[in-house]
Amino acid sequence: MALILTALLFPLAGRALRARTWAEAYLLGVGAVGTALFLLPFEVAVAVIVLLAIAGARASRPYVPAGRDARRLAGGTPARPNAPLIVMLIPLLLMAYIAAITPLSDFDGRAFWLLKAKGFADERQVDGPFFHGEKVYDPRNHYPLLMPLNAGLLMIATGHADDAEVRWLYLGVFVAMLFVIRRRADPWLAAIVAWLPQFAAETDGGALSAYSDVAVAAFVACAVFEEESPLRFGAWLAFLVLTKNEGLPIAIVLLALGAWRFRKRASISAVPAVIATAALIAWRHRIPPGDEENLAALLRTLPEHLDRLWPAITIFAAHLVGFAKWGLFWIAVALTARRRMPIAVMLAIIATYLAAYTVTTWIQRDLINSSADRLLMHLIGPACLAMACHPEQRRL
Amino acid sequence: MLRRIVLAILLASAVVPTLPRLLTEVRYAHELRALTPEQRRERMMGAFYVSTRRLDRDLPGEEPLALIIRQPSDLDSAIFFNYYVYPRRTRVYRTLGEYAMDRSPSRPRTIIAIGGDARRTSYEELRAERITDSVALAALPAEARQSFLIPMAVSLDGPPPDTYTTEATLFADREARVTITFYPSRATSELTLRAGETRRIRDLVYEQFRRMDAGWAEVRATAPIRASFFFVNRGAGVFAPLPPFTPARRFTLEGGGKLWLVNPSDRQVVARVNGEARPLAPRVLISMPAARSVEADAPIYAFLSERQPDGNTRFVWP
Repeated sequence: MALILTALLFPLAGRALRARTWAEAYLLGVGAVGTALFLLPFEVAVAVIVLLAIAGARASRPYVPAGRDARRLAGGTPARPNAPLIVMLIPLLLMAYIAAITPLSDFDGRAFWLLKAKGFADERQVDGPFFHGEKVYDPRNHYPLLMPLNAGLLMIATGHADDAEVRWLYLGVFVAMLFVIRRRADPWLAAIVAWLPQFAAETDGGALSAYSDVAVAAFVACAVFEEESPLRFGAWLAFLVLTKNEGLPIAIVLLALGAWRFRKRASISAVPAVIATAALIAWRHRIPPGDEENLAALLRTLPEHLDRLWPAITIFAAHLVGFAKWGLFWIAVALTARRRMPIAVMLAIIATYLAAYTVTTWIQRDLINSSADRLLMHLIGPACLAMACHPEQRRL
Repeated sequence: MLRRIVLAILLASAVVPTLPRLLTEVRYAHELRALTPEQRRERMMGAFYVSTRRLDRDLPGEEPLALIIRQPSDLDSAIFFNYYVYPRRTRVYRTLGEYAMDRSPSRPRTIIAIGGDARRTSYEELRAERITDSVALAALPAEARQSFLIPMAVSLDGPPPDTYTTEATLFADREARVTITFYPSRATSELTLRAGETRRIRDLVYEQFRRMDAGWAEVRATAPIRASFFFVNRGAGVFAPLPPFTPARRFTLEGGGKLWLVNPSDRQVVARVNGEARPLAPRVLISMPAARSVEADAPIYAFLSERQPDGNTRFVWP
């Protein structure tokens, strides 16, 4: 039931929003459904989601892009299964088997993210007793809700507030991201990403977990690959803002990319991101904070903590060469990345993470070691784009 | 060609660490496939999950739970307890004192101790479990007695970290059966001291009478015993001796704090505190603001207590 619902609801909702491929439709659907649940009263959001799904199902044929984008997509579409696709599918099939049987066992996924999903599934609101600390201790009360709301909707729809109902949602995000990379960057790079231990085999943060990092990675990838529509580009940024705390600084970095890429039309990109940010801030003002750090306030102390920057760089850099989590991926990125835009995006995002590591009140080494690999996941789209040899991507 | 070589190396570097881990997970999933989802979780997550689910089944769904953790690292377990029993209402308390100080009407009455597993318990049991060592000296008096009265016996908590207990050390040269009676509740408890045995009791009232209360005690033994008693503030790590008392009709006490009056008899006694008549019910221990002069129409006992800045209590005995 959960598998069928996941496989139908999100792609259809995304398809109604003029996604160009089923993979993009899935991610657009995940973002749009979560955003609707966050911004609108539950009943209204459900009505919107149902209408979107019906519209997606009634579409006589998939949205066909026009002009240059159509030519690029046509050129990047393999006619039949080929070697990189088979290589990519092997870990996905193994992961699907694991997800179908093994209970969720990661830390943040249960302790933070899906606890919120259960709260939402129970109360059907984002500022009810759960989020006011009246029911349980919610340690990260201010974390953005996009993925928990999607998971909560699946729990409501299946009638079980059980994490078994939402495993396909998270694995689906990973699969969709791979197909986006495969189509927009390079099929072999998508196959390599499918096998990266941090995505495929890591209990905490990987695609078999209920963390939100794979979703951030997918939305970042979609944003950096988006050349056609500034509105859709802005939608990816809005989804980022509503998915994780890191989403806001990433969205700001990507807005600069959008300004460069879309020129006069760039202001359209800012609209969804600004609405999402305003809604997130307003929601946070309505509920008490958890025990998360107030990084926005801490960042003002950056000049006083510059002596912690170099240790942050060295500890973070060690994760780039961590073979057990990344193989030789980041070394290859460093050696073969040629495109300036994705490199600039990666460096800007890394700079924001290093700034956060510099001002954190946690033990710096512990925080970096527990989060750096997950934050590197966010860069997978720009990294693939930087290394891609796809002829249609050369201009980027 | 160079690009193909780079991609091949890159792919191999990803497959090598991932494939064994994925295959291990697949094998594990294969082992679990015949079990129900609940049995799979029990097998994966062990005793904590099993105890969590059992409690959730056994307790009424609307019953809110106080989750009291043993140590800071148990907070994670409390969060997972929340996760698996949701939407049941829970409240996490990081210390027993935090629970004791929570005077809100919404404080859950049912307590779950969170540690290696989750189990239902009471405040008193949890407190007793955490009293694992003695604070006071084990010194014994030279004089052995068969019967004596202890002016105060308590098992109470004050504002954190104050935890008050009465510690006792008992010793018998030859085997003795000791009967302790706790007043005013009149609860009795017996213990047997073997010849030459030293018995240390860390929390006399709770260990012997299974209650948290304040009163005084009468000790009777079948053979002379040597015994010492201390009023202990465990949170502050301090203690003060509680010597056996002898009832009298008239007392003069110099000091501040509280005046305590003990009526060790089975009849009502009238005490005059600074000239003012105060009836004392049989076997009672009561307190009032300190007074210098106490007179009674039958033998009673009077003493002063005053809390010191270090958390200790200074007693003034007659």
